[in-house]
Amino acid sequence: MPPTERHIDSALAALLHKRVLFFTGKGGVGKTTVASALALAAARAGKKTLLIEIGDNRRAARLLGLPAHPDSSNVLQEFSPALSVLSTSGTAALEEYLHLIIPVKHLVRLLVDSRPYQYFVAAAPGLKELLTLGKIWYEERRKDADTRQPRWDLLIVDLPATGHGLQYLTMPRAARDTFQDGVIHREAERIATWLQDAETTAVNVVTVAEELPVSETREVYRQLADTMHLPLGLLFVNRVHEVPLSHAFLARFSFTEHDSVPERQLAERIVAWARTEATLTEGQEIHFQQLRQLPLPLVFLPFCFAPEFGFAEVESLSLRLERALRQETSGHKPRTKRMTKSTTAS
Amino acid sequence: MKDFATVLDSHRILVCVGSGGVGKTTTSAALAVWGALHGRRTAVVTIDPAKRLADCLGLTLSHTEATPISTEVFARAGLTPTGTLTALMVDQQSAWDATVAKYAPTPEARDRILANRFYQGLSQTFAGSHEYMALNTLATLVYSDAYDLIVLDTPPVRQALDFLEAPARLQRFLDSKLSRWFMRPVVERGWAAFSFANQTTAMLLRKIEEATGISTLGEVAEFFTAMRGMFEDFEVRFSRVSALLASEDTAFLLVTSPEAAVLKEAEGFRAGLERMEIALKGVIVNRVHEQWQATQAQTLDTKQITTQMRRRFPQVEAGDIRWMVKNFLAYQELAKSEALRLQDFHRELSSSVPVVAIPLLHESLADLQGLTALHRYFVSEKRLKTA
Repeated sequence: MPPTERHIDSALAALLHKRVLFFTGKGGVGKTTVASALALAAARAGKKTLLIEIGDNRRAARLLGLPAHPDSSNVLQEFSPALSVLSTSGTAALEEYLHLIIPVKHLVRLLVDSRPYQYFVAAAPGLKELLTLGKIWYEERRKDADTRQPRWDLLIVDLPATGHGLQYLTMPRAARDTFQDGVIHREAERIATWLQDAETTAVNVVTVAEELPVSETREVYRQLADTMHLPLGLLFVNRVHEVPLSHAFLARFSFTEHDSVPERQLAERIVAWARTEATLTEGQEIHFQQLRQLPLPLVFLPFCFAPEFGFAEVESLSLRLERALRQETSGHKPRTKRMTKSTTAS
Repeated sequence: MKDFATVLDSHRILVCVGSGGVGKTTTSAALAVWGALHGRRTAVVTIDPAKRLADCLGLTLSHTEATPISTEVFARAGLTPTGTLTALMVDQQSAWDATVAKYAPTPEARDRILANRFYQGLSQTFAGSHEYMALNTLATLVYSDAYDLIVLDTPPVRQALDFLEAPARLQRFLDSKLSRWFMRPVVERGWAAFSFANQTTAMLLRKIEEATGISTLGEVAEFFTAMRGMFEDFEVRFSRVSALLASEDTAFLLVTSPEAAVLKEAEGFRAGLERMEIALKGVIVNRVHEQWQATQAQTLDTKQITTQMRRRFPQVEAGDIRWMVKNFLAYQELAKSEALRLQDFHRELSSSVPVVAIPLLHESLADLQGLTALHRYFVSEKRLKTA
């Protein structure tokens, strides 16, 4: 059961005490940004953190300003002593896995280069997803060669957009049921058990206060909680607009006829953009209500006006995230200044 | 320079590609409504539409049948289409089941397949099925000859090319030598069924067999044996789909937003299509913030504007005025940087590709009127000024 009415402080502590945090959500809501921001916050809190991104887009690596790399997948780059970023994909994970079960390097090369193998991997549905999870699990259990301590305190996984992302999480169970015996069955069984362990794992959802992402979030919640029975973490509401002025107040701005034209046009534009921002802010309310019906703690993150969203922005978002996580949650909403004035602006 | 509307009017298949979250589904619906209003028998194949969009298209969310949108629905929005509009949703499970029912040699075989664990995994959970099924639906529509315009909304994959390569992948997989992998002989004789010159490879493949378990191979083999007809037919269909996607009848349209990360991916889509020798026929940029004319020419002086605003609205608190000015300038900065990025993006495009910029709209788009409101941008296309 996810926490409902609880202090986010404990929720943050609880979150950072896990071993693996998954991030899922509709494409375009800022999953990678939020996952990267949390990774920075975790590293600041002294956790040896590994941020894992799936696929070969390397969005997180780019966001953190890591140098480009000739390989597109299975790249491990150190951002700081406390934070590394791994880009991985199923194909790379399978090769690595084969190296583990077949200790002779050139034999693996032979196999991987053979046509049947390539067809099999490209077309066998679900194999890549399963192996990617296997790779994550392997990193979770990895020990430091010298100290024999776990290599990472915390793994943060940026899953692909919702539909594909959930397939990663359902894959172990599907594979366990599909493969009756043998190594894959056993591995899948182990990974499925590990995913369902609330002590180690939490699946977090990222959304924005818009119709499509919110309805998808409700659907995802249903699947994660009711169908897949996975342990859930927090629900991050990204790009929240906040306006200190109400729409009613802004509606009272009016323009007299005898103005010099350019100056009046500018004033009109300024008021129009304030109204736009107020419309966006007020339009969010209905979506917040929908999200509050889910038994997940909500964390609100602000809309960022930055022309270029780069490392500085992620860093500042990660500080905001820490602050937000220290406040109370579940139902807290951004405060809007009540306009009680009755002046007519004209 | 072709205008965007000409592109829409001169192709039979429109394929929308782009990253997730850029409004691909809404854009696909708007294109389909355009087709219906311009006298064409239109079908839109969509994946996971939002509830309100589904409602406006008359779809219920568990609907996978082709659903014609009635003239009453159009009339309520004040529209009188000269063509028709039919919406379909791709639902992989029922699409696979229907396919199995169609191809299984006997009812017993059909039931065996539907109960086969390999098949269940393949159709329910396994990734990639979506692409196969969406293309399968496309092929069915194209060859049914019931439509003059088909709009295909692609799954929200980061790699559009996954989607485009699905037919080729499946075809390679079904390459006759390979399908033999999954036929009875494999189960009976193990990997010896392969005529491998290289014994080492055979030995390694045995390793994989040990890993997966014999019983699985048995089920896989059963599935492929029983469904041989389907796969042979798939092969034919997909080679036709591939030919279709590459034909003059098809226009690939790239949907994007002006955000830096999204545009970077859009650039990847563009380059990827080029590599596959698929011509990009148009670009739609959603959610563009509009710049105020004056900000293009001059830097705005915060202090001066604040003073002007305070003179104009003396009763308003200074703090509120300051916030309004700050908010305006922040949006202007955003708009300016978007314009610059779009210019860079535009430079990479061939000059014949029309680019439509759709401003951030705050009214709801999820109804026929909202979708029709987008049409003015298809016609009076704003050409982006390249510096």
